[in-house]
Amino acid sequence: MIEIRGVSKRFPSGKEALHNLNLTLARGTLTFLTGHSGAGKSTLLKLLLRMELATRGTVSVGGVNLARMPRRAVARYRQRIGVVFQDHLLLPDRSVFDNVGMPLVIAGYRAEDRARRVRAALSRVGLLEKEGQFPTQLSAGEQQRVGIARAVVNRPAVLLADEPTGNLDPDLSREIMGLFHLFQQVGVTVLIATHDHELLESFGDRVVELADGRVVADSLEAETDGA
Amino acid sequence: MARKSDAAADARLRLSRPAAWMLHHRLALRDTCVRLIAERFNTLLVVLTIGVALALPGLLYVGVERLASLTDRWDGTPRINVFLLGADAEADVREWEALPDVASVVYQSPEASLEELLAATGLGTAMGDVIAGFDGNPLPAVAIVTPQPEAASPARVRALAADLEQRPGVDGVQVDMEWLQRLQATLALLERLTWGLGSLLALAVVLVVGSLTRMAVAQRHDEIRVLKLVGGSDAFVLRPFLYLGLLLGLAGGVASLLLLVLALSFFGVPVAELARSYGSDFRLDGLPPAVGVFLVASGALFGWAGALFTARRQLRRIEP
Ligand SMILES: Nc1ncnc2c1ncn2[C@@H]1O[C@H](COP(=O)(O)OP(=O)(O)O)[C@@H](O)[C@H]1O
Ligand SMILES: [Mg+2]
Repeated sequence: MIEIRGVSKRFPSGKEALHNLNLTLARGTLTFLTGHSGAGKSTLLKLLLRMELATRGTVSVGGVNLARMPRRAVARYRQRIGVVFQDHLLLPDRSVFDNVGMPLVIAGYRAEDRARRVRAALSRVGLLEKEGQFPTQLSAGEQQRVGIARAVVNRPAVLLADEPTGNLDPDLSREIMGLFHLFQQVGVTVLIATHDHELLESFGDRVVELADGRVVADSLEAETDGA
Repeated sequence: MARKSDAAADARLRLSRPAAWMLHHRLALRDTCVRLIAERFNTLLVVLTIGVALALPGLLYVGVERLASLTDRWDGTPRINVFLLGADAEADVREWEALPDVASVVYQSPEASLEELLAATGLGTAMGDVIAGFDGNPLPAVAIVTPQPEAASPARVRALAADLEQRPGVDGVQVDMEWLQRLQATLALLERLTWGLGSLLALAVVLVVGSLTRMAVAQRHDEIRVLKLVGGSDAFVLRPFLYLGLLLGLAGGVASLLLLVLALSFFGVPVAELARSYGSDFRLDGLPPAVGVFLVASGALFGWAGALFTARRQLRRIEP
């Protein structure tokens, strides 16, 4: 699903955030991306969202090389990618319902289908009864769950999350990570960047560790090497 | 595979491209209306600013057009009215047709002059009573002399008039040309001024809406980032701002229309009275529908253009 081949990313400042990176994520798998702060996790997610372009190498998602994607195709591409951020990025002047429904408006679904799918997504994250409220009326954990509902409402093939539990206490964090596993089970390819080691060790998924823009450990390769 | 059939069902649920486009327009329009109403005081200020900017050249235009239509009734060729002393000078006057600079001479008897005057003022009976108070017809006989077209320059017409004035039986001459030419030149200048002022104020409208749009985009920077992140295209994030410009311009155009109607009726009565004192039926009030349509349409166009020019580049530069 996701193929990263020999990717380097150097920012205009001269900082090389990623160095000759190789990584393959199969369809329907869940992978944790970990590493110290500044290791390059966010930069990798930005490449996958085509917020940035690789300086070297190729990033392809679903068989499409992102460097070759014309500007006008980027919006449609992002409609197929769900994304969750640490600071959830909800629109403060819109209700929970409208926030979650935004990707469906953009993708062009009629009102009845939007309502049905927004409610399905909200009930997945357990917030059906909050659809009429505004983000500021919700707790941090609820806000993050709304962000997740928005990320999955258009049934993306790929779900990316950057420190999705960064602001949450351990119990809430486990709950959120549980949600991601739910989506993985229905075939979504999930990539979660987090520096919370304790949390991810308790799940037993693939863990890729970055340090200074390089892969320094990959639990999947460790297994195959060991076999 | 389960996901594949999901995706296929998805595709069927999605609206066709034109229907999705309509949906986006409807929501952008609604969104913009809500914002404009929420900020109604600022909205009103901007709308009135645009209204004044458009009403000024509109007022000038209507005034100039009215004056121009008044002078259009003149054919533009100069004429010399020669007032005659005797009532039976027609034969003398006929000889003038032989002069090289003269194209034609029309003799008008005192009775004909009176009839024309009564018809022109539309005051048939009232004027008739006044005239009846005089001892006979107070009007002189007139010879209306039209110069040859090649002799129609102001200098040659003046020379011809001087020549005619010295002839026996002539009481006086009146050349009604120079004031007309001067008026026509003034009108041409005013017309240019109207378009010049109009262009400047149209630019002002574009700039006012442009700077307002720039602020609105800056204010909603974070929201635009999010919309782009969840798959909103450049056109999608631009649309509400285009409606912002369009609606402000449209409302400004309507405001200018109201201001113009107000101004025309405010100046209308005194102007008509002034004109009547000069014996003219000139009127200012009453807005031609075409001018109204033009004002509203140009308001909408300039507002839209102002939003487009500023927001499009600014939005493209907002990368998520
Ligand atoms: N836009 C940018 N311009 C310059 N340097 C950047 C930019 N974004 C990130 N970096 C640098 O790249 C490195 C990797 O950053 P990041 O990917 O955010 O790390 P992480 O998410 O793992 O903490 C850091 O040293 C950071 O300072
Ligand atoms: Mg980061």
